[in-house]
Amino acid sequence: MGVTRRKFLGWVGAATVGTTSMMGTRAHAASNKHFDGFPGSFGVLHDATRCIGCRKCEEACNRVNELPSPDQPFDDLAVLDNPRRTNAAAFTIVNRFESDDGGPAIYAKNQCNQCLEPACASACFVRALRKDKTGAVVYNASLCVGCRYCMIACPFNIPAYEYNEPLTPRIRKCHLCQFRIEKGLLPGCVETCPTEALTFGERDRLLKIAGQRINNFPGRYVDHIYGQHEMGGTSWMYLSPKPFTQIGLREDLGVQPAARFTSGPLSAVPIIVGLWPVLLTGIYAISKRKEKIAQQERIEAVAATVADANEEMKVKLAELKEKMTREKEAAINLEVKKALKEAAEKEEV
Amino acid sequence: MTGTTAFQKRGGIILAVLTIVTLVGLVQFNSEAGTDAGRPDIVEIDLPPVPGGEQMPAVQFLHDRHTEALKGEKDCSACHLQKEKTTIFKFKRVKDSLPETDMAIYHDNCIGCHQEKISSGNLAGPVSGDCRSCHNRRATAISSWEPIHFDKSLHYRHESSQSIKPARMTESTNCGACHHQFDQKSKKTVYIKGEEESCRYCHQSVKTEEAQSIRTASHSACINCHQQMIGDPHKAGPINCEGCHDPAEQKKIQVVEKVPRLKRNQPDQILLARWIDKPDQDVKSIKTRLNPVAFNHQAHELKTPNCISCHHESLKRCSECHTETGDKKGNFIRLESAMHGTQTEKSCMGCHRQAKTAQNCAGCHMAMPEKRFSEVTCGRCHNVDKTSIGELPMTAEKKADLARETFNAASIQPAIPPIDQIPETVTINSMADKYEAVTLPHRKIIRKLADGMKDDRMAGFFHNDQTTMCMGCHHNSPASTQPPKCASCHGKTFSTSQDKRPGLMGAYHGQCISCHQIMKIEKPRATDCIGCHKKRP
Repeated sequence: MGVTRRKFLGWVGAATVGTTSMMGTRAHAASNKHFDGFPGSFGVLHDATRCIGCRKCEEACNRVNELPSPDQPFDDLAVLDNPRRTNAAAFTIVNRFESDDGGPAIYAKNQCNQCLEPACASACFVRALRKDKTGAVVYNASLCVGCRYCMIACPFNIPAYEYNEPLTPRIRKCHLCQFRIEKGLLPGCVETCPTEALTFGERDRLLKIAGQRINNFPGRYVDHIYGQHEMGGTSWMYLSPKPFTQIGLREDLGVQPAARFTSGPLSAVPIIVGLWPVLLTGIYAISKRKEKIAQQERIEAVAATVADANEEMKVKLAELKEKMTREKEAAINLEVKKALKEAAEKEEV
Repeated sequence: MTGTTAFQKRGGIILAVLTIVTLVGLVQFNSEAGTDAGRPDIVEIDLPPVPGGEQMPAVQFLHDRHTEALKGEKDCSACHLQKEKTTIFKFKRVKDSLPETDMAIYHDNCIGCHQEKISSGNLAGPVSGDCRSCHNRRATAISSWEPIHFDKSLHYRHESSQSIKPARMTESTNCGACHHQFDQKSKKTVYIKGEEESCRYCHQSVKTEEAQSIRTASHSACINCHQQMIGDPHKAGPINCEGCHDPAEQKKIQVVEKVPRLKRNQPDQILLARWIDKPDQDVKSIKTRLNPVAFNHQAHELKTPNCISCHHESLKRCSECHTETGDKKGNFIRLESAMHGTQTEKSCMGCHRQAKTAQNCAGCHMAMPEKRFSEVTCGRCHNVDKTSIGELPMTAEKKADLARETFNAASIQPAIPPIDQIPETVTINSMADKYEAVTLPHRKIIRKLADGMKDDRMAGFFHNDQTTMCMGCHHNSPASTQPPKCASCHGKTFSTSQDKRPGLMGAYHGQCISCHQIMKIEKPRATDCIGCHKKRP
């Protein structure tokens, strides 16, 4: 047979290595350029020392985004007994964290952190997710193909999927109330927060405010603004009285934006996608040609065999003919001899 | 069944062996299980390395286990030698010598005693050849050792003890039984009354040329004395590790609540300022000098666990080491920083700052931003009238007199505005929306705060102005009995200007809730909306 499985995979591998090594752009990965967010873009500062865990933000989020009403009402604080995460029906949730030193519990709100260079957007090959100039990471359902790569890419486990929506499932996540910001309104959660644990404003200014709070109240905060540099910086930032891992935020993420890690390999994707038809056609053509040649050879072989058989037949026939002729002659001779003998005997008589 | 088969026999033997092994294991496990809480008596025997030799791991020696085992049989002299009637708490020697010699002392005596015990049919520790039984890196016991704090109460119990006699018959107090100083001339330790220092002034954490380490000195002094007291009608102090260093035993130590003042020539009241000790011609003009601080030494003594809470090791005046320009003696911390540094509890301001975190104070004080030094009101402490200083340098009596006068003039009673000037309730209705207006029990809150500082002299001293306490909530505007409404400064939403002050709702909730949380006022809970507001129908 023409193409074995092994051979096929070998070709694909060779083609991939060839294209990526030739075309792979590593400019991003190697550059020291840092994107600080769109100038004047907004963000929110969450001060965990002010949060009282009242869930009013959850309620406001549900209201302004017209999300389905939850099983348990928002004033039922018993839901805080178990850790929760965002889902398609709740863009934000508040979790309670018990203090390790027996002090009061700490509450922290969790939602999309609106990364400056979002991992979800870098994983989205149809650009259904993008960073908006307001600071929001926004989603366009009409472009989404439902691959859910964004859910895997997000280091904060935020995007959720409407699994219970059979026909038009969407990715759901906090979008910083972009539609409200554009109307000059505050995000729903910020507007409703009774203790101003959420401060909305330009990201640059929020960083200054956060720094001031740390300076003004020594000992109250961990001397770090979470989100200033994490994953290349986020528009949603946090202040905490305890190390951030104790309020459910990962401290192992580093300061590189996710896009930096994936831009190299992912830039090869369009090339591979473009080459695919050419490659497959080529493979098809080659295998087709091989088949044709094989066919030809087969026909020739058959013809040769037939010819050989004819020849042999002829020889055999000739041999048979000769034999028969000889036998005939012998019979004739015998008969002649017999006749001659009889004739001779008759003469003697 | 005629009899046991070979298989059954073998099985039985294996089972028996397994049972024994398990039991032995359990017994061993149990013996260590008792040490879960940790032991206070782990002594690490680690001699300095012999040059060129190979070092075995240090030995974890359980002191109290050995004293327990030898109880009734041998006393301290089994392991510790005596010199001039005092027991030296080293093992079978009075002085460290070469590591090889000391090592031989340990090996010969430890193993010798263990061997002796075993041959007389007792259980004992490892013997010759069991090197790794003692020298191993496995931590067989967890240490629960805690340092013992010789606080005011413990000091008083020693000072007032009838069993501790004065060093010389001529003395009326027994201070000299422990306190001493090294006399360079006679090369002996002598006691001079009124010059007692903390032990750590000479006995530092490691041995110096002049003095033993604090560890050696305190073990030698305390235990030797306690030992002599055994059999005394008064209770003698502990002589084992546990008695002083076990956290559970420490809690059992009797505490004298009201300790009489400890006298050591210290002033009752004093003026703090360097320039008042200088002669007139050096000072030139007192106009450029800061007012001295009238410091109530006696009142501060009551508020601190012991002298070294403020004084370090030496009980000298602060300015002896902390000079105005900084000196090596004072670790280059200038006198000004020594008084005003906020990062240490040894300074005035550092300790006062710490005091503000107390539950009664924290409601207001924790919500206040840390003041920059330029925002601090100097005059509250630097309150001595310069015109009454008179001739320089001041004599000690004059200083004390002026300080006393200043104290008598100053009030230490917390002041609040006359009760009829304090609104009984305040209705907060400017934002009533989903909830009804709140009726704030304004007068009750002030009463509660004033009650919290009633017996606190420091709070009284610093809140002696009528409006000081009002500033806890009515902050940032000038102090007044008629402060502006909150809404004068706090808008509907937070301010977009540089200072980003909270919006009205954030300001109210932030102040009420954070104060309730910090002062542990349980009702209403922070999330109990209808505890303060009625819900609108």
